[in-house]
Amino acid sequence: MSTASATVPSRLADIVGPSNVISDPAQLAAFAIDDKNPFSVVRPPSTAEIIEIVKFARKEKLAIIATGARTKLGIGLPPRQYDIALDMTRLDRLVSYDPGDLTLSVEAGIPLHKLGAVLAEHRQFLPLAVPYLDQTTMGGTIASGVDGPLRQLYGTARDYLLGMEFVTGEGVAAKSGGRVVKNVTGYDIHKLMIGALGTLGVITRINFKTFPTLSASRAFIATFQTVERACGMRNRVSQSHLGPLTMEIFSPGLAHLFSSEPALRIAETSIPENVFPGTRWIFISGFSGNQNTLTRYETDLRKMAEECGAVDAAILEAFRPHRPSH
Amino acid sequence: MDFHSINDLKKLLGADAVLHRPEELLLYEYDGSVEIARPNCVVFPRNRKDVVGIVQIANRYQLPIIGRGAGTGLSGGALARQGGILIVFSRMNRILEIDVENQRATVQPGVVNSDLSVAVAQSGLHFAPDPSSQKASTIGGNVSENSGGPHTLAYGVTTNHVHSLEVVLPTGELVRLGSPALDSPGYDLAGLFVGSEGTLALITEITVKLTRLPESVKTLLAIFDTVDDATETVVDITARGITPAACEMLDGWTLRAVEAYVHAGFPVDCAAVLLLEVDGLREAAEKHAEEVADVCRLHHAREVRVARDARERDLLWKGRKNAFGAVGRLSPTYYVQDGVIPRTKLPQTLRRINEIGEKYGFEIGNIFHAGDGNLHPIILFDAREEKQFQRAVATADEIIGFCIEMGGSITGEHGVGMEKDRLMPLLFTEDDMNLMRRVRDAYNPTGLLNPGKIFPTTKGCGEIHVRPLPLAGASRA
Repeated sequence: MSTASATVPSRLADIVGPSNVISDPAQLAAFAIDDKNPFSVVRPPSTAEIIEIVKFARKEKLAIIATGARTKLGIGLPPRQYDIALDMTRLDRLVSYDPGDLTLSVEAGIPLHKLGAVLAEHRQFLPLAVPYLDQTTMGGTIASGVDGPLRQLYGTARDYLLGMEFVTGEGVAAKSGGRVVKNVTGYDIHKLMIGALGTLGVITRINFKTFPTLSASRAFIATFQTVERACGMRNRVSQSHLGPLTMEIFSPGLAHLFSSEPALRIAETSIPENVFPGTRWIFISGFSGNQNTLTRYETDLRKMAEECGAVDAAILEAFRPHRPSH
Repeated sequence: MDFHSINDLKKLLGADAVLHRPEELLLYEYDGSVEIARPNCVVFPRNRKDVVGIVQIANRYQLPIIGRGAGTGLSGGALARQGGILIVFSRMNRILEIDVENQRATVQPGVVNSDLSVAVAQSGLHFAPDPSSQKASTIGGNVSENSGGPHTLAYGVTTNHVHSLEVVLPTGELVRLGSPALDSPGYDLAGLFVGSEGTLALITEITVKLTRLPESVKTLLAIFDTVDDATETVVDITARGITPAACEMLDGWTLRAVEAYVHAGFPVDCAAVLLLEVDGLREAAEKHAEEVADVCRLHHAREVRVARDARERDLLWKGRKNAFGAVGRLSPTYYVQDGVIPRTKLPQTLRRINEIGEKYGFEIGNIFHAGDGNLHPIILFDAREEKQFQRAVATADEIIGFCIEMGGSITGEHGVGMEKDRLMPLLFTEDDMNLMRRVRDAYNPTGLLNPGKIFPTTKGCGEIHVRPLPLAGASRA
């Protein structure tokens, strides 16, 4: 990367236009990974340009790292080589959405919150209660393999991902899976892409199953003197017929953080002080359903907590495990 | 296949674990599809060491190897298309571990699907994937084909229930994929291998997720005077965000065939029924059953029956799960398809299937996983008549073409195998398939493991593999 480096921005500009190439060091810093800046940032508008960029980089032996909202660039070891940041945020379209079929297809750069707003209009959602929900892109979420507390009921992305389109390291556009909810045609290559951190290809399009929004949801919180008792509660619930949305255990320190930091709040209402004293282990479990179901959960969970030696228990109204924190 | 390789196999496995006389091989020409292919020999390993040994012998003599469970597959996946050694896993049928607390079990591939559910029922658990073949089909086969079933609508297909696999690669290496925990670092290779139709590795051990049995189950039978009303009901249930545990449709033609055979109490004078099931907590199941019944009535259901007890429920399901056996009594041969469409397109697709049948002069029965949009049109024909046979294939192709036009897929749960390989180019580009071929070649470089499956062997869609069968098969789909 010596003589070639000087011409990289102009070669990239040939593909996407100069306004979509960044080579100013001050701006490049925003794309740094472990303090290493790329030589250029390129912002392709579609798959066709990604193919050209990948082919160019391959020929010049330049390393590409695809980026989205850049919230998780720190995952993994420092890159051995990092020449071009492939900024995917211009590929941000909702390609198709069939609310009646509960399926959708999106471009990789679409922010989760933007997609969430569209789905909410149809009383649907994706159970990706992932970190940085208000910033992160779909492609980054999938490539990083992150998940959140809703996996208790809904599983992880691999359980509701239907198919994917991507560009391989050779600059070939390919796909696997499809857009229907059940499909065994060909290999599930898209499953390999989940959590692969963009090492197998650049994800360009992702097809998902969507889910109806939850009816009223609440959370049950119980505090325990020891982690063993909190885990005992967890086992008790998982061996019952209850099918909660989430089930989490917080250590005393973390519990304190959750009650004191407004940004970390997980419900519309604040958590009662006495519930998070910061000295006990917390068991917290969200659930939803009709009035009778909610009552059943509350009764059963209280009884189980008592049997498992809980010190204290409370119900949290308007539990919101799948919405951005502001 | 020569005498030396047979002798080596007998030396490894014992004479009682190797079949090679033509009359012994006849049974293994078939699976549940209309395909036929005869292996050169059939072997029955007892453990992973045997499997490794068989693979080494196959490599030494350059013979194809094909894994097989109970032979209930519906796409020719476990047939020896190019001859070779058929490895039948029926003797590797031990449940190795049941971990109730962590809700998982480790099994050998030859364990029969429903045997696992029976074994864990006393702990209030079951293995959720429930293909109609579950009383015979093996978990190894289910994993290889990524099998579905009626209850996968709410519970997910096989891949959603597999934690990890132990496999023997075609090179003879024994490797573990995935982890018994929920997550494992690195690429999701277990996710890739599940549903790879036996083309990447031979499975020797599987750790699966066990699911808690629901507290309450409500089974409903909604009876309709038109097919449109039934399909519109499914569209509406889906759009309202109600996810029943199962939502199966049987049309009038199929119902009459089933009723004559199973006597499940299905009405024989209606156009279609929906077999619906909701489950969960008592409070939720009751509410959902009411909601589902209301939607059915809104779409002019003549009657909505609710199974009063487990016996009535079992009878309704017996009718559904034995439907293909019932159809087998009506015709010398039948061809079942497995196309998938978006649920919103159900009404028009069912109308189109009917039109296509009329055009080619076939009565087409429909019994399928309506809630998933996974169709199983049944074309009855007499394979002994060449012209009828060709017409049946043309009918099937036109139906699949329409599914794809609707944004669907060629197979929802039966697999591509050797039956649908020629249809792959309808969904995938040459680039898509080349990438998949390279994945296959990475694990199966000599191509000796299950050759001639999934990928089209010739360019274009002209080749027809479906061959006549003297008699129809038994229970399917």
